[in-house]
Amino acid sequence: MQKKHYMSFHSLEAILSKLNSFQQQCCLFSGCTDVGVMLRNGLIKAELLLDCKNIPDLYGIEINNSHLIIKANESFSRISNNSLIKKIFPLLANASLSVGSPAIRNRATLAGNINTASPAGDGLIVAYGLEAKIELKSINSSRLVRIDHYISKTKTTDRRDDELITAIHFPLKQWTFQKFFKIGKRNALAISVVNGIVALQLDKNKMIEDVRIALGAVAPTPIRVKEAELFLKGKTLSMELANNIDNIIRSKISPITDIRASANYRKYISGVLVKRQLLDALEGQ
Amino acid sequence: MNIIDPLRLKDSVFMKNPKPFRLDAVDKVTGRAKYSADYYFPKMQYAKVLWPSVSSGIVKKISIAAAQEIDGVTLIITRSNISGPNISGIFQFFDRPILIGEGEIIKCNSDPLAIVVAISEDIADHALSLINVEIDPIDHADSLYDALANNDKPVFEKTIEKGNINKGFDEADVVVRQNYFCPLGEHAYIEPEAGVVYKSEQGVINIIVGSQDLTQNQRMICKSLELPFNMVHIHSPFVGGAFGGKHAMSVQVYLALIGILVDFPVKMTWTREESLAHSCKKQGHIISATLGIKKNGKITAFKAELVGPCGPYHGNTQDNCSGVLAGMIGPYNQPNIHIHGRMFDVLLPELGAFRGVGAPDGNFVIETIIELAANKIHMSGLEIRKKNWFRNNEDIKTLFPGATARNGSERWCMNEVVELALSKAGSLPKPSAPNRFVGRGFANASCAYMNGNTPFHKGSTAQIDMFLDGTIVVKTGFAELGEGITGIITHFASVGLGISEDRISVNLGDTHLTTKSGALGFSQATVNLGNAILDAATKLKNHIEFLAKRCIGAPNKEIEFRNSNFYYKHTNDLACEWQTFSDYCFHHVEPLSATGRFVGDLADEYQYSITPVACIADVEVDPETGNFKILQIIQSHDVGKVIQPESARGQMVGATVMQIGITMFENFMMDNGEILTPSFSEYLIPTTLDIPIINEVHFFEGNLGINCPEGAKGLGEHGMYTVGAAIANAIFNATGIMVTKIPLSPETFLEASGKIPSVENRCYDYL
Amino acid sequence: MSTSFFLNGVLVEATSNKTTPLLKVIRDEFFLTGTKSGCETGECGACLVLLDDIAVNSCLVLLGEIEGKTITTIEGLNKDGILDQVQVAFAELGALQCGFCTPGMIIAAKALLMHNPHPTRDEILIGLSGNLCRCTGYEQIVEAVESILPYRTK
Repeated sequence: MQKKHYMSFHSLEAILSKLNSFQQQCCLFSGCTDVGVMLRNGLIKAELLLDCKNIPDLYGIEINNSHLIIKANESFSRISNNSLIKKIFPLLANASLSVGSPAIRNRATLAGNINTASPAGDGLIVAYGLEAKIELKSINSSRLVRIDHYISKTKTTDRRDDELITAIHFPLKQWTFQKFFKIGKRNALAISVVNGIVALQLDKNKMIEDVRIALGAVAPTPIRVKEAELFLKGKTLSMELANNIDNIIRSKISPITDIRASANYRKYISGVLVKRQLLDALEGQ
Repeated sequence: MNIIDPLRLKDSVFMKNPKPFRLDAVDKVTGRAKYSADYYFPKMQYAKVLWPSVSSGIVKKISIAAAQEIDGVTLIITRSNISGPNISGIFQFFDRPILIGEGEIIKCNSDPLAIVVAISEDIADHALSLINVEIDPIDHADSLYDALANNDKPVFEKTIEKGNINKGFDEADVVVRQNYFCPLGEHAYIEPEAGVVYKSEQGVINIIVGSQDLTQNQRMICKSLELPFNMVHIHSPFVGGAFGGKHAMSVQVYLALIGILVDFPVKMTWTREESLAHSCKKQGHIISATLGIKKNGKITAFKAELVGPCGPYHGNTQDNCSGVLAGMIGPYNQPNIHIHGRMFDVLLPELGAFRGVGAPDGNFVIETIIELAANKIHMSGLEIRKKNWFRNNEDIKTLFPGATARNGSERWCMNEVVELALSKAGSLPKPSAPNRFVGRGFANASCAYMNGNTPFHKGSTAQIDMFLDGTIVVKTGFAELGEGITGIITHFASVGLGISEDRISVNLGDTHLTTKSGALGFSQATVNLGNAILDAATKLKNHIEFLAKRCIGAPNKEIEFRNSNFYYKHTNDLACEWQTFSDYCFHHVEPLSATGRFVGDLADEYQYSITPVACIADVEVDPETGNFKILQIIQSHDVGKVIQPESARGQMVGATVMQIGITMFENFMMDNGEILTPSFSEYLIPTTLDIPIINEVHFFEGNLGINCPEGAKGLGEHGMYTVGAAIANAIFNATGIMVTKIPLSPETFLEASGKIPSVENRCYDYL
Repeated sequence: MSTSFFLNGVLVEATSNKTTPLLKVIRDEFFLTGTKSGCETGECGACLVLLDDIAVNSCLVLLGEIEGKTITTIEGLNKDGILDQVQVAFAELGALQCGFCTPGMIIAAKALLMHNPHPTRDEILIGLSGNLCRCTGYEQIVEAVESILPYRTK
């Protein structure tokens, strides 16, 4: 029976040094809401459990010229309450509020949600849709990785064994309309059956200058429906456009059937939900 | 409230003297209440069960040597440790083994192979993983479809027949047919199964386990393990929810077996996954129903064919099936009925009693098919119901053919109950947005419960002991499951003796220290126990009045016990002061105790109390997404007298939400013996964000039942009966789509409305 | 190596392995059995405790994480034997039946009110959305929380 060891760190250097020496023997955690469950289920192979929570450098929500930066230890509770985020990316605040329950949100972090890399991750789909970059540090390196490169296969990340997520960078952009949506089998403590975001940049005539459509839980990883985005770009928002999008979405995704929902339902509801966001945008909501 | 309780209520601003609504309330809000897993003893060890990895097979070899080597493993129990008959079960069915040994057959995933006892749970778990078991799989029908396609013989079959069904359909102007699907379900009490065993003086094996039926548990353990009853002492502490799922043996027999073999205390707790996988389940089924009706609204014929899966052990199979079949008759005087049910053995855990025992599922069928018929003949569903309700005792034979029912009063208050619900429902709200539709659904039922009879115990007993200061303790074999038996006890003891409730405490659920009370369930406790307590109170009162006469040397005077003193009857003259009486009893060592008993009239096996129930549901539907919002559920009941208002209301509104769960979210899925909903992450029960905006229950005190104490007929399951159908009918009213595939979810709605393709269950081919 | 923390106002030393879930430490080492185990995976809320001033699922907190921190369980809510307002409201208004979810539910309500002294009904429902109850249907629980709002003291 393998004995596990808990370790706490008070500086980035200290944890990176440990990671560097022990690599695959390390399991990093902050909120422990995913790792805690996996530990309990015997799914953590690593011996060393490295607690990131006491590292001050991993806290903070700030902006610079180009990005909103959310440090790795920021919980969904704090994210949903943060005035910067509520102002710039309200859809991220909303997505944060849909995760689990209040007690889970008090601990679970966006970084952890991204690192678990479930295709149904609610924080993850927002990061995906907004083309966030993941900041990773090791003792000798620092890099920023595009989210879609960070997660390109199901439940797998590009994190190397000596790396730690330190922050998530969201490119600043003024979206005229930005919404997160989620369907679960119930209204709390629900893993998404389908989730997604729609973000639109419109000119004063409601012509679509830029658009993001991202969907979760319909593929092994979160996806951008690029064909739908291309279809919309340059067109003027209208009822007809919204209805057309429904069909395009359905034809471009191949979800699976699992215990939560059938492929048919996921396909259908994805089209309807994206259409509805466009209709809301049309009505100026 | 006991004034010496150090945990006292703060002076509440709500009322001058804060009063807990029930005797167990302060224990539960402070964490002082103990449940099965909350007992710790010095030198206590831990036990874990080895469950099989396949659901059907013959055990070739069980190798425990490697596991025994682990430091901290004390004992590994296998089949060879059982010297007597290896047999256990539920209720009166002794049909399942305790442990499966080499050369023996595994018939479901809940047939255990071994029990590990170790100094910690972690070590026990680790040892489980080192026990090597070789099993040769045996082919077995793993789905209902398999069983039907193979033409397996049903394990249980029942027909309810009345009149001439063919003639009935000939007489009909309109015939409506509908298919129904209902999955298996899970009780999902928040407390998983747990228990502790320890040995005490004289070698008595003590088991602490939350249970609905200690009498049955003791009898079964002692027969299974060939132990004398007086050597097996079972105590049930507070139970964290049961709903019918804690009648069955879970940890009890394993703990007893451990208790025979070791001398130190041992605790067994089941994880949520074990509870989901191995505790008994609510039945599921497939039904094809046909209703014949005349244009004037009179039902002429009702036919239904049910098939359902069950596991290899049948403690509850026939009751579950029978419950659904009978529930389909509804509160109607139906002239021609043919209802046929068959249950087939597939790879399942045992079926157990689930709140309502199938009747709510049956009610779902009849109440929705009536709405479909109403739509066809252009008459309101309520009007059809009124034309077909049974009206008097004779008609009750329709509900329970062969019954010689006697109802205490001829008042059948279904109409009043319906009017009450309608008056509280208000007008239908407008939709909250364009392209949303609001509908109202109605359903009714008659809940009939046998008085003084559960299926296995014909009554109950209680003991009242009075102390020398006039305070009392009531002792009864029921445990407090949450439904409020504690409140029933204190009420009837208070009324029976004329003393205030704050002078009453209770001892519950103990085979050796309390009386036999029977099974706690079937909505019978108020009647059975209430009457038993009144009987005990009467006897005790008679006894202390007799003693008081002796005390004052006036054997011929008429004396009554009133306001904690003794008075000459019909006067205000004090006959004997309490202190004098108390001193007398102290010196003469007089016991102040009485045992009461209530048993249903043995001459009449089928006396029922009938509770009419009505339910109105308002639901807003978004037909494009299939999303629902339940705006309100209004239930009304005639339960006779309501004894404990907060508990009664709590039970009913709680049942509403439980039935919303069963109807709209819950789906216990298995495939080839493997559980696809193993934890609370997959098996979803309602949260606070899933409840109706308005959830109300209203009581009408009408028919006071037969032999019901103060006219209280009891409740507990009644809130389950009508909610599912009312919701389905509301959605039908809003959209014209009747969804009869449970769970009634956005997905099944979209399938029913043709927006997404659906695949018809192949089992219907066999109906 | 032991872990020191404040448990219901008292400084204690836990000797369990630092990777032990806090729920097990509270129950098995300190015998405070008011905090319940319902699922061990954060899905039911029966194990809720206050960590400093926020509600957390103690089944998903490792002992090592709470070094120096303050943990309040249901047993710690009363002050010198006088119950907290939330406890009083639950006990008076029938906001419990089997009681197994009750400690976690009260902790959730307490945490909600600590951060939002005057929640709307919707906010109460959200605040309690991580606590499963199978008995009550939540009605009387919400009413109990609502009933104390006009009298809210700190």
